[in-house]
Amino acid sequence: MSDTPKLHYFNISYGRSEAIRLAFIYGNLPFEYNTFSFPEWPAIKPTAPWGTAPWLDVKQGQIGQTQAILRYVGKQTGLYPKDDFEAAKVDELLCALEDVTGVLRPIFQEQDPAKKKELQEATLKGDLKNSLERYERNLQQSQSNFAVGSSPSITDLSIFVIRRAHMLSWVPTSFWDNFKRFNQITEAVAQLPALQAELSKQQQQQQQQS
Amino acid sequence: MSTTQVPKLTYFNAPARAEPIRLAFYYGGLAFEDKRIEMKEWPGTLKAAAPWGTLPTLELEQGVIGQSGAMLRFVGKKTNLYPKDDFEAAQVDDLIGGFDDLVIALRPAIVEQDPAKKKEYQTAALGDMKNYLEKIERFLQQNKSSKFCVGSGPTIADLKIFTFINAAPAFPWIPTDYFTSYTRINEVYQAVGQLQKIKDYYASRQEAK
Repeated sequence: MSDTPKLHYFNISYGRSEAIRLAFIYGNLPFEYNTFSFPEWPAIKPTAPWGTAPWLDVKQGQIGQTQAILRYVGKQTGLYPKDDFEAAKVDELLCALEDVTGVLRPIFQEQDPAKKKELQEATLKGDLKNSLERYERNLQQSQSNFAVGSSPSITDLSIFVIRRAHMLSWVPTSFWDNFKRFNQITEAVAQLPALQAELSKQQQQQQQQS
Repeated sequence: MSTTQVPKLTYFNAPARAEPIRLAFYYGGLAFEDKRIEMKEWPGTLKAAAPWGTLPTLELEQGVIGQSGAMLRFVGKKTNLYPKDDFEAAQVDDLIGGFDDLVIALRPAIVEQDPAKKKEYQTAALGDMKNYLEKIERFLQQNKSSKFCVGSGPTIADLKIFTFINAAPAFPWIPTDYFTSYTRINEVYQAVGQLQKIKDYYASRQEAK
């Protein structure tokens, strides 16, 4: 295995690999990024350590669960607390975020446009609102703009990715206005000096494509 | 809010998600309050106070943790059950994540009430779990240092596997040797069961009955 970590994922934007990518970039840690398309996936799947993407090749071996990768990279880039209780809060909030994105899965899976729109409206008023309200209540405890303690973590990056995901562009901005801490954390990440170059590049790429 | 003298773990009087955490405390000789509540106590003020509306909860001096994975890692760090090496820690995390996925595959079979559908889901679950078990078995084969999952001693990953297999008899539709037919998985199960602290824990639970 080469010394430079290699991250593998689908060629989609702002999915499960993005928080990991941002963690590497934040910490100025070199990494390779290999992407593949959905049609290519069945042939590649047997080579993935847990049969899922993303996965990370490192010198010692492979890491195959998104949270495990995030924690691993976070520890090397100052994005995972050394204090055990703060680390537990980061873990807790990271876990709970899966419940938020979980309610969105049926929408991604729905192919029929009319049914999709119906599902979106129902989820907005129901599951998404409920899960975000509970999540927001758990974000009240922090003393800073970040989720835990006074410095950014892998949880903040993950929140940012969800809030900014193009896959969620159907959610009206007015909906997000109800979730002040979620927005505050997103803004705090967007302002991080270590991410400016990357985020500007992403903005330019988006403009070129539209 | 009064400061908690010892950590307080609250759950139902059942193993499930709390058991690996209880074992971790016990294994590390770390004092904790093992609070077990009745089902009828749950809806109402307790549920409203729980940060995610779920159990278990772990009340510490610094605050409350409400996700069992976070609790398990926290207690593991305090009791020498979580690797200091970042890559080994990632391997423990991978195993626990993989195991959580296996448990999710079980859920439809457990939750379904209609007997015909339930039988269908049970058959499907037995098939789905095989995929995860094969992956876990292959993963465990990588460790040449000991009988445990990762590295040279037990970790929270071992406790997770052990407590799950222990709880399997509660699902009579799962064949008795379904999990232990996998060589490494069985090795982990036996190795944890042989640890003195673990034996002591179950002996003390018998006395509590």
